[in-house]
Amino acid sequence: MSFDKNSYAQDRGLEESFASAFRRTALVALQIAVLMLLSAFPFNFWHMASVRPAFLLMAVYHWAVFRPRTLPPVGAFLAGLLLDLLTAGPLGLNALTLVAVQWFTKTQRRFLVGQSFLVLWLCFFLMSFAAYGFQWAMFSLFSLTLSPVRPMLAGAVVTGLFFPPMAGLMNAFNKRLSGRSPSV
Amino acid sequence: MPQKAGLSTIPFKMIGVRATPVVLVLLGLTLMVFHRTDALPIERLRTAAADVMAPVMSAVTQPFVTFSDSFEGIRTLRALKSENIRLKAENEQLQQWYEAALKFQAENQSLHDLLNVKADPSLTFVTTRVVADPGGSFVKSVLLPSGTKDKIQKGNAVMSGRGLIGRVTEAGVHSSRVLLITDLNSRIPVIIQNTRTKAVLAGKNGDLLQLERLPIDAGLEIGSRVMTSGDGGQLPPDVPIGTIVAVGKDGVFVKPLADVDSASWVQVINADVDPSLMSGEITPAMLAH
Repeated sequence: MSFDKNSYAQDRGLEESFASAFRRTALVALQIAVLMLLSAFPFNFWHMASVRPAFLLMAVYHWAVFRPRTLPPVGAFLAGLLLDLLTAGPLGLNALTLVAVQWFTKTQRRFLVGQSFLVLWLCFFLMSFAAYGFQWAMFSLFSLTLSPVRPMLAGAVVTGLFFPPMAGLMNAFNKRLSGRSPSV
Repeated sequence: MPQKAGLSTIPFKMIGVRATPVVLVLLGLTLMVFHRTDALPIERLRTAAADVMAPVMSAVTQPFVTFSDSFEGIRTLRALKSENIRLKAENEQLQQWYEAALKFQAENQSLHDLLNVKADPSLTFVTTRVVADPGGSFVKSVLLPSGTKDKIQKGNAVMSGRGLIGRVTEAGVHSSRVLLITDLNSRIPVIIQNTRTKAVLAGKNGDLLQLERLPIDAGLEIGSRVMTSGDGGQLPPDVPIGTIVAVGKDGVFVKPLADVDSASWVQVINADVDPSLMSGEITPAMLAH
């Protein structure tokens, strides 16, 4: 594995060149933009189901486990805010959810980084249910009625199931970003 | 290792990093409260964001639509001959209906004149494509790339295929957001065709819609058509929505005629909305006979 000075420096909290930081931020922003496009894409002409996975949730979880500095809480907040503006839900709900997910995952990072992929996936499933449950509760509170539970469960399950392919893609992206494997 | 920050700023930096998630969480909660209490012009912000996103999404999805259309063209090539025969037969039948319709129209007009009824203004449409479906599990809405520059207003009905699929809740210059009839917050004043019973059609975030505010002795049958009643002045009357599929103790359920979740091409009925009735809510008094 090639030694990349910038990622080495970044992981150890040392000084990083402005160009490298800018490149890193730009690439992550691009990834978030692509995922948001994917979240909003009208799949109507392929007659897909109305439930779709929460790609941004996967991205936030992945970055929080492997490279928390790349997508800091502010980044998660802004991504969530953009998603809120796109959907017609309460403003700030997705922002809040993503920040909470990033924060909680970062605290569990020490345990998660060394684990096998299966454990990582299982934890993501739990996180997905927690995030969707939280959104369901907030939504019910916002509209002062009890929202239906089935769409929430369906969304959580579908999101969890889509994690492996997305994680594979993000790992490849991560390698591009730094020139070395993220699980080191 | 020399660091840019001086010794005195290190504690602040640590607190700053630790406190950021808390601050952001509080900010998120504050935004939600502001949204709920209408303290900020959230709608305008959202419309502005949609105005930027809709053209982008339109450009991005265009190649896929073109590809899908050409694929569809290749697929139907095989059935061309049988389709042709079928269409010719259907055309002959429709010609007969057309003659009958002309006759009924003339009769209708004369009866209207006799009763001195004012005819509905002719409806105009704007045909456009759905470019974004960001809804998710809790909110059902879609984005259209046409807005006030195409004379689309807030409250306009949106149809796809054979029936109503939603109505416009926010209209920017280049975009508009449509709340689908299946969304939890959707309430449409309707009338059942056979019995002329008036009710309110509510979305339940699922495939079926539920009729609310029904009179006790409604006596509804499965298969009856449900259409907009035009009460409230927002939606034009007699727009078909769906048919009743279940009548029971849980309630009366309606299946939409149009494919609400996979609508691609839609028509927005941009008839003039009565401004004096725009902000009013649907009250039971309005539904009383």
